[in-house]
Amino acid sequence: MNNQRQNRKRSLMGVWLKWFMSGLAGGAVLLASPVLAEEAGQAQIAGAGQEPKNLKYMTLDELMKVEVATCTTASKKEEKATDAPATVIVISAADIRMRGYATLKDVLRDLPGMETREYYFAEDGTEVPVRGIVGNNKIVVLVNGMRVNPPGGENFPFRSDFSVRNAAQIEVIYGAGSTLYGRDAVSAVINIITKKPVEGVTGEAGVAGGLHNEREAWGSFGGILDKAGLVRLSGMIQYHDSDLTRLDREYPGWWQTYRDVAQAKGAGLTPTRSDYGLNTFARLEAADFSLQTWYRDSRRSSSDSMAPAFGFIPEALWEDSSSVTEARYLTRFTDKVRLDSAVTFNRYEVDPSTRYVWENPVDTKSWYYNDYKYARGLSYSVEETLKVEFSRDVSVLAGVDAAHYDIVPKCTVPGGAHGSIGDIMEEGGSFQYYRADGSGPYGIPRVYNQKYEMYGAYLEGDWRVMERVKVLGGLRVDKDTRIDDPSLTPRAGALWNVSDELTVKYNYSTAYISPAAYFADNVYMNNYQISTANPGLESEKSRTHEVDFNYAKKDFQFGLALYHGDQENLIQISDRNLPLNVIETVYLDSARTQPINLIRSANGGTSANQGVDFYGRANFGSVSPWFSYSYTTFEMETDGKMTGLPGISHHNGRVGLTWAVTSKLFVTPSLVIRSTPENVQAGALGHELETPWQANVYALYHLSKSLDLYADLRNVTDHHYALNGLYGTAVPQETLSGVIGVKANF
Amino acid sequence: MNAHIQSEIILSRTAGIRPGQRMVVAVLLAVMGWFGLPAFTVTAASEVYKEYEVKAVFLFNFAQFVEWPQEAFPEAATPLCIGVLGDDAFTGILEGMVKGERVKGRALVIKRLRDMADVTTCHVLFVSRSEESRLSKIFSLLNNAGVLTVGECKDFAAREGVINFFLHENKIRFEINPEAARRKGLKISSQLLSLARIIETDPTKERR
Repeated sequence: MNNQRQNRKRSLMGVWLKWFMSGLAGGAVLLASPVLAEEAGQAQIAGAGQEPKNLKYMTLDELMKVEVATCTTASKKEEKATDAPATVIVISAADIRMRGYATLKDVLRDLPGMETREYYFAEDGTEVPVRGIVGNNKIVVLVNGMRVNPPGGENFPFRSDFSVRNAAQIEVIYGAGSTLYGRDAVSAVINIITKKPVEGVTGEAGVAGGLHNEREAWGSFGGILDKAGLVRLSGMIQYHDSDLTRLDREYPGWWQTYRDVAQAKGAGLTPTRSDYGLNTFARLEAADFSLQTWYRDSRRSSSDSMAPAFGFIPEALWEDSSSVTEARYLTRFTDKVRLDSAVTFNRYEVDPSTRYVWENPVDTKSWYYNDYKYARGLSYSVEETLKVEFSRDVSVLAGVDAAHYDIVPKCTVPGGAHGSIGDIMEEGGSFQYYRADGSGPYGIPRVYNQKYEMYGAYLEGDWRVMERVKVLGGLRVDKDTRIDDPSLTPRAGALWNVSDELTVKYNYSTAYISPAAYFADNVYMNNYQISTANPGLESEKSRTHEVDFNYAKKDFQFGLALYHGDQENLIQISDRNLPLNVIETVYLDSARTQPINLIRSANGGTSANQGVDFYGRANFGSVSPWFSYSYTTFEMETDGKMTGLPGISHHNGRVGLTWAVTSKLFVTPSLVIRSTPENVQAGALGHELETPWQANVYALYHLSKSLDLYADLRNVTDHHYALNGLYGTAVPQETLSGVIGVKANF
Repeated sequence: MNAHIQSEIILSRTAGIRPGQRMVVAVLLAVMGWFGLPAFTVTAASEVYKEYEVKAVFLFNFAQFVEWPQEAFPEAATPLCIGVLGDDAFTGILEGMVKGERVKGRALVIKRLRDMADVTTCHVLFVSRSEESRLSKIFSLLNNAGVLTVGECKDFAAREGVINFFLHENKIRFEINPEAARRKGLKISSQLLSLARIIETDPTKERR
C-alpha cells in the first residue's frame, strides 16, 4: 500500500516536473503567482476555520447581507472580474490569510507583471515597476475607493505601513485608467476593500516576533451597532518594526566601500537600519452614509540605495506620514439611478527630523548632518458620480470632481523645518548663484508653497449590443489651473463572451501624469548641481492597447494579457541629468571659480512598453496552486538616444500553492524569480544580480476555534541577491527573515 | 530558438545558485508538484464569500419556503430533489450543504441532469447560466410541472422561471415571478416574497 502510494506520488511528481520543465522549454522562465479573480464555484481553500458564522445556518435576512467576490474598480460598478474592461486580478481575504500577506507590498510581490524592488529609494520604499513602467507615482492606490496617494504627486510609499490584514479583497486593475481615476493612473489602480461587519461584534488580534528583531502587532474589530444592521463600525491598527538584515555581515564585499568612507569619520562603521511602520483605519457606516479615515506612518534609513558617500548612521532617517479622511453619501433616486457624493481630505507630511547624512564636502573627516528635508501636501476634494442603469444592457456613469491643492514640495531646510509654512519658507532661505556673464547673485528659494486647483469631468457608458458582446466607451476632461491645455483621456473597449468559459477583451485606455509639484518644484543643491523649479512643466501622456483572454472552468482559471503601451512628453526629473534637464552652467561665487550645473525637471522624449502576462490558478481539493509568467520590454528615446529596461527584468515569474496538510495545518510555499535585471551597474554584487529569486513559506496552524499559530518565513533559502536601486546600481536585498506569531479572533 | 536551447539558457542562469539552495528549491518545487496528497478540503470561511456558496445556501433555504403540490411527492419518504442543469459551478458545495439536512421531514438529494428531458424529475431545478440559449426548450419541457425553477440568466423570471438570482452591490439578490409559481402549483411563503424583487409576467409592471 505504502509502495503504491509512493509510486503514485513519484508518478504525479514526474508529471508535474515534466509540465514544469515543458513550461521552461516554452519560454516560461520559472513561474509566477497571480491570485486570480475568484469566479463562481471555485471550492477552494479558504479562511483557515475562522468562520464568523457558518453560512449554512444563516437566515435569509442574513444571507441578503452577505457579500460575494466581485470587482468594482474597473468600471466603478460591480461586475464579474472576467467581465471588467481591463486585466483585473482580485485577491480575496482567504488568499491574504492563507498566504500570510501582512502588507500591500507582500501582495504586489506575488502579482504578474509587477516587480517589487526593496530599498530602491528611502522615499519610495519598495519600488513597483508595472509592465516595464517605473514610478510609484504612476500607481493609484485606493482604500474603499478613497484615493490615498500623497496629494503632491509624490511616489507612493510602499513600505511596512500599509496593512492588508483587514482587507476583504484587493482589486488590481492593470493599464492606463485616467478616464475614471484622473491623473497619474498610468500603470495600475489598486483598490483595497476593507472587511465589513456581518454580525454582532467581532475582532482579531495578533502578535509576532522573529529574526532581525522584527516584531509586529495588530488588531481589528467590526460591529453592527443597531438591530437593522444599518450602522456598522470597523477599524484596524497594525504596528511593525525591524532592524532588517545586517548588510555588513551578509554582503561584506558590497559593504567594504561604505565602510571605507565611514572609516575616516569614526561613525557608521556598522550600518544602522530600521523598518518601522504604523497603519490605522476606521470606518463608520450608517445606511447610505459612510465616514472613513486612514493613517500611515513609516520610518527607514535614508541611506538605503544611496552611494557610499551616504552614511548608515542613526541620524540618517526618512520618515513620512499620510492621513486621509472621506465622507461619502449615496443618494438613491431610484433602483437604477444613484448619485455617489464624496468629500475627501488628504494630508501628507515628511517629518521635519528627516535628513540625508552624507560626506561633508568641506571636511571629509566628518559627516554632513544638515541636509534636512521637508514636504507637506494638503488636498480638499469633492466628487459626484452618477450611475444610471437605462436597462440591463445599457448603463452610464458620469462624474465631476474638483480639488484644491496646497503643496510644499520636498525641499531642503537647514536646521530642520519648524513652525508655520511661512516660517519654514523663511528658514529655508535661498540658494545663490552667479551667471557666466557675471550677473548675480540670483536666488532660488529652497521652499515653495504651491496652490492650485484641478477640475475633472467624465462620462462612460457600456452597452451589451449582443447576448455575448459588450462595448464600452468613455472620455474624461481634466483642467489643471497651472496648465493651459486640458487633458483628454478617452478609453474604449469590447468584450466577447466566446463561451461560458472563455472571455476575450480588447481595451484601449489612456492616462496622464499631472506635473506634480513634487517634480515641478524639485529644488535642491548638492556638490554637482542646483535643481530649480520649472513652472512650465506639462503633463505626460500614456496610451495602452491590450487584449485579454480569460478562461475559467470549475477548478481552473487562466488569463493571458498582451499589451502595448506608449508614452510621450515624458516628465524627466531633474536629477536624471539629461541634456534637456540642464539649463546652463552657473557659479557659486562671484569670481566664477566654482562652476555648477543649473538643472530642472523637463518634458521630453517618448517611450514604449509591450509584453505578455500569463497567469492561472487551480484547485485540487486540498491543494490550490497558482502561477504566473510575465515578459516585458521597454524602450525610451530622449535627445535621440535609446535606452532599455530601467533596471527591470525581461522575464519574471511566480509559482506557489496553498496546501491543507490537515484540517488544521495550512502551508503555502511560493517562489518569485526574475531574469537578470537589465541596465544595472552590478558593482560588487555581480553574482547576486544574476537571476534574482526568493522562496517563501507561510504556515498556519489552527489551534482552536479562536486561536491560530503562524510562521512567515521570507527568503527561506537565505539566498543572497540584489536588485536595481535609484541610481541604476545594484542594491542588496533581505536575506532570510521571518516571524512566528499567534493570532486570536473573537 | 528551439525549446531545448532555450531551456539550457534559462537553466544556465541558475548556475550561480549554491548546491544547498538548489536542494531546498528542488524540495519546494517537488512539494508544489505533489498533487496526490491526502485531501483535507476546507470550506470557505471569509467575510466575503464566493458566489456559489451563497447561492447554494439560498437554494437550500428556498426549499424551506415553498410548498409543492401533493403529487410532487408520491410517497411520504420521497426525498426532495435539487437538480442542477448545465455547467455545475457548485463543485460539491451543494452536497456539503444538504448532507444530513432535512426539509419538512424529507431528506435532500442532489442530482446533476445530463439530459434536458429529465428536468421534471426534481423539485428544485437550478438552471445554470450556460443554458441561457436553451431556456425556451427547458421551459417547454417543464410545461408547468411542479418544479421550482431557479436561474441566473437575464430575464429568467420574466419569462417562465420562478426565481432568478442577480448581483446587486456585491450581494446576491433574487427576483420571483409569483404568476409562474402559481401556474406550477407552487406556494411561496410571504416571507420569501417580501425579500424578493417581484417580477410580473408583463415585464413593464416590474415593482419593488
